[in-house]
Amino acid sequence: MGSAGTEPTWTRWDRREFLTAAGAVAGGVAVGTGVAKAASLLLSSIIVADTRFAASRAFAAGAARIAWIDGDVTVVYNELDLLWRREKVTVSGLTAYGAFFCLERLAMDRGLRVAFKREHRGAPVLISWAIASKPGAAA
Amino acid sequence: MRTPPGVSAADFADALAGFTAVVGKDWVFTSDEDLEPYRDAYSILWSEADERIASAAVAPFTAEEVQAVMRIANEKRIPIYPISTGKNLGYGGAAPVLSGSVVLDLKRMNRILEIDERNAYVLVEPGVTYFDLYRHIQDKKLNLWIDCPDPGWGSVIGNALDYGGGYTHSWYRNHFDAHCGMEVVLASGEVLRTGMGALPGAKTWQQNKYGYGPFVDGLFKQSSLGAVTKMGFWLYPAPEAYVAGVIGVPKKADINALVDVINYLENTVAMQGMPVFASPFLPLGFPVPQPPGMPSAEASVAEQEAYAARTGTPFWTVTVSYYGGPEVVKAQWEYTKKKAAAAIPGASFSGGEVIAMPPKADELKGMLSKSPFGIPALAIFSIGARSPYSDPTEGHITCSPIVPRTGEGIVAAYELIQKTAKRLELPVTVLTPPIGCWARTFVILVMMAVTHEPEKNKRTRAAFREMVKILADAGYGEYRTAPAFQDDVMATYSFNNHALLRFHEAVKDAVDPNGIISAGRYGVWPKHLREKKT
Repeated sequence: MGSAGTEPTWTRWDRREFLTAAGAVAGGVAVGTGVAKAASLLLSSIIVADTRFAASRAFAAGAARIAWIDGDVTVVYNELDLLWRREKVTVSGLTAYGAFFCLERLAMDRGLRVAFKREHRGAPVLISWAIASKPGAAA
Repeated sequence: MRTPPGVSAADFADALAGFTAVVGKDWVFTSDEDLEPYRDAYSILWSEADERIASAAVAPFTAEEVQAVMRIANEKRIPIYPISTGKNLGYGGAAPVLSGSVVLDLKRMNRILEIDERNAYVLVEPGVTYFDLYRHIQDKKLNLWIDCPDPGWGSVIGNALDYGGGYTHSWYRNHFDAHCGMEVVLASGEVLRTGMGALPGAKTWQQNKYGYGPFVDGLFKQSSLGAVTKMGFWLYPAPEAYVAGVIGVPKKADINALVDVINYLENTVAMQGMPVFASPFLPLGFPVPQPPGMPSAEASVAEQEAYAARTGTPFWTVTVSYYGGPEVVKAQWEYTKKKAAAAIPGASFSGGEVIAMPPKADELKGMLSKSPFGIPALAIFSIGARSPYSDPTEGHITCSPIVPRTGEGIVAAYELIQKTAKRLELPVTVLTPPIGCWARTFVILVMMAVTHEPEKNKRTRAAFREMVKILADAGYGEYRTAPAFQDDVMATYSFNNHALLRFHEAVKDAVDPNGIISAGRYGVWPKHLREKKT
């Protein structure tokens, strides 16, 4: 898994689209404007990245708070479970589907939502995603 | 907004207002976005007209709020579908069996009410997950283990009520059997305690299951009779040491004696861990790298045995494990080797290292499942849907026949499953080895891909139904199933003109006369909906 030959490359994807959409939900920045501000907000949120994938490592580059996984999302899931019970912190990531799926279900249980999701076909399938509080919800 | 079937918009609005008055506006959900968690992510009916969709959800915080919600629902005839945390993916998740039901989501009731180290029990609410309980035990430094399923994110109560199984000592692996006492809110809103809990001020509610008179706890397993709001469980006093070893046998027919030896050891408690049987010649559904020259699962037994003999590959293996004091587990492994060697010519043995418990971090590193050590995890999702092993599936449904604990039983069941799956062109993604999580029987999991393509799912449903019937005709019943098939499976338990189902229906009509709780769950429908169906 994670072979460089077939794995999508993060830098080829539409980073602007991701940052704009996810940052808009995370920080109330209007979609289509304030990309730099959105990027700043997003990178100050928690980033979940998978050490196995070069694309995921690139995704997390420069982030202040990175929650690393190695395919197994258990530890991050438990930490976010406790965190999201107290505070609806924005979390984004570039992971395999399984890790995303677990965090998506947890987010739903804790009253957050998937603000952005994009699937990147390759071997394996990777998902770029952002989870944030619902509009109007208390932070 | 959807309304429950047979309920007027005005009555539903009244009920929702009542629910809101009880739990607060933040905990009544009606929008599509808020109801998304109550869809079954692994639904084989995804986006079809028959997909099971909730009309609303309500999340109480206390048993008293559950009682109040139930009274309102009973008065307004609102179908209610209690869930603990709804994580039994593949078997329905959080979605109701009857579309339009209001999900009674008990996730906020997540208190560990009592935990006793000396008598090794716990009393929990339905929102307590295996992660919560494990974390609590670690934080309090209690000398206790839990027994958890894999994945371990679900509710302790929910998994037990759905007849889930685990991976440690045989006394704790059957999660329903490991419970002791429950509190249930009935359709009337009345609260019931079972076992010793019926005695006000009882000092042994979580120590004696049976109390006085008929034992009714089983009525609330896979049930539509109430909402369980508290449940006790026996925990495993942390063992000091662990041993795992592997027994290999050379011939296909050796499985008969091998299972008999394991049964003897397990039923005399000389072995406590879950036996894990395997064979390189069992078809597993997903591609596994095979050594060059190895015969396929379809090759003749003679070819397979010749390959096994030539390469020193056991035809069957069983991984056995022991929990207890270091001297005890070492002696139990030695005893196991003696028994197997006497029963099976050519048996081979490996492993047997005594490992001090709890396991160290480096001993756990890289393990896909930590469940044999009572540690809940989610690593299994890394090989699940849309992983390199299972792409492009969205999930799975599982045909789960219970199979006799004999070698002959294993071989016969596999032959039937293989033959049927091939004929029906079932999209089997995983066919597990026989799983020995419960004493006295095996269960085999035949997992089939769920997609978001209705035509594919339709074909899978038809094949699944036929598989269930063929297995039942051969004497293998399912132990649980997804909502789309719960009527089909209940129909196979048909002895004496469906006497069991008719009994369930009589109890249902007596205990829940308005038929509000979990209509259709496990094939038991309330009277007014049975009449509509006919």
